[in-house]
Amino acid sequence: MLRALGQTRRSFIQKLATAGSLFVLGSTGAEAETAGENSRCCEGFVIVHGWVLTDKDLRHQQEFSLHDF
Amino acid sequence: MIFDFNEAWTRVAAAAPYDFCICGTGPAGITTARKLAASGKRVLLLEGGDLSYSEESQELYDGKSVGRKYWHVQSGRLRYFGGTSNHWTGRCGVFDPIDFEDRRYFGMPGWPISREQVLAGLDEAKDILDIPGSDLSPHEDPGFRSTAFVQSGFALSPPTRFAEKYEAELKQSERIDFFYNANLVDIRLDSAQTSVESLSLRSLSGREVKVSARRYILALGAIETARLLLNANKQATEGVGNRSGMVGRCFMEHLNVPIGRFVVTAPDFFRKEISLTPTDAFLRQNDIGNGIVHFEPNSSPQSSGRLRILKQFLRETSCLHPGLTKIAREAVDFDCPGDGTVTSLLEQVPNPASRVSLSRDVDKLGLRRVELDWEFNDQDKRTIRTLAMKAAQEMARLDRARVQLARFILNKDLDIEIGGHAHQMGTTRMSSKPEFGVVNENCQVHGIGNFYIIGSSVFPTGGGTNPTLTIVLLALRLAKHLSTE
Repeated sequence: MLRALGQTRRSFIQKLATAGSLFVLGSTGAEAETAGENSRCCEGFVIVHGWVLTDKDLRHQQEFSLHDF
Repeated sequence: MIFDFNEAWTRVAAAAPYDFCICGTGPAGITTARKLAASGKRVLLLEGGDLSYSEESQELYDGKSVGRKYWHVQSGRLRYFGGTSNHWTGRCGVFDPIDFEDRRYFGMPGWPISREQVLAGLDEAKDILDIPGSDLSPHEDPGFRSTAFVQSGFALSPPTRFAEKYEAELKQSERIDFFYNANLVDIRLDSAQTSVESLSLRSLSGREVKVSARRYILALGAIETARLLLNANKQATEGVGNRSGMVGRCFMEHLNVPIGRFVVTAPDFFRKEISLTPTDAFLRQNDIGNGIVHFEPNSSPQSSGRLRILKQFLRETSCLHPGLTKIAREAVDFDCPGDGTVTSLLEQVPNPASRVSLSRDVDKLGLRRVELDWEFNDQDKRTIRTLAMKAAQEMARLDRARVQLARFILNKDLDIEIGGHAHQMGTTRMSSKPEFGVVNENCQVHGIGNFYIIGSSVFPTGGGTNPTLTIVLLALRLAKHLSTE
């Protein structure tokens, strides 16, 4: 169950990372920065809908996307 | 011996002379009284309230909150035997080394005594609070290697209820006379205003008497101590001990900020609440206040977690469909270490604009009620946002959780949601210089030789942990100082 919970949470983070990648790459133009809720806050971190993610989270997502699609 | 002032009000003056008169029977007052009595001193111990809670007594704490809304003016403290120990939660921690340093960015001097001086009575204080042998040191967690945070060290008192624990001892004591229902209403000074001559006591039924002792100690908490000093304005219009205008100023709380929520990525790490406290190095690097960031998992089906409804449904349907029982039980009994909330207990800087003063309203005893203007400044906002952001980053970097910060943390244009923890501190702060405080290193009121204050009101800074243990430590230190004089 613990593993399942961890996986559930990781897919949630991957969804966030997708949004984060779009935001960071600026590919959609739809993710405007709104009062810090979407921003590159500092070295190594990015904020997506208020969630504080690492660059690594985003990189993993990109790898996942390339592999998957 | 224990007496009801309503019945034995003539006895309180007749039994003089006392070495000490102590007002207040919370952890500070009772600890000081017991320690002084143990050293052979005669003590008059006074409590304004009754032996148990009454609306009539509690109502005397009512007052106005202006400025930042403060919910605990009346309810955060208790006005009867045992004081606020009657409803504290029992969390005990010691102040960190940095709490005793002079932090210039605070804008006010820090503690004029060292951490070692405060912690000298730690073993005895632990016994008093029923946490003997507890390790209170913050510690590095092998599962959370960070230069910015360590796990907060603390112990949980049962919690000790001082009235329950010490009533029998006070009853049998030959050196302590304890009067309840004895309300302090005035402090009379000598003509030079350099020593206290007497205290005026009044019952709610109107009985009034003056009492004298060699020395006087107020142990009434941060709001009431300031209120009593400001009300005692017949000889000095500014109130007693208030020549530099510092009485009531620098009211501090531990800031209670709902920082955000989190989802775990390392479920094993969150089997219990995680309390992170910043390292001294991180605080120095960022010039911010101390504190604790709590990660509280929603850990049971009874919790407010978002799986609660599903679990409830599974539990109920499993009774109707036995085939589902095994599966359902697995889900219902699962102790979910999942999503949780991030809360905090953060240090507020000593800010003279944050203050206790008197309103125009008068209580049943004829004293002006309190008006509390709780304020916080840009330094406090920086403490909140810096600790919140760094905690979120560290959780992500170490892959323990991901945190969604509250909008007001990220958007500096929004007002931060700040509550208190009912930790009232700092209105008669300790300072070696009268212009920055009300009492000196020995808790003696500046300029008044036989007058002392003890309790969280003397804290020059609030630190990043719960205050009760430090209150008891300071009481032990004061009693030791006075017993050897």
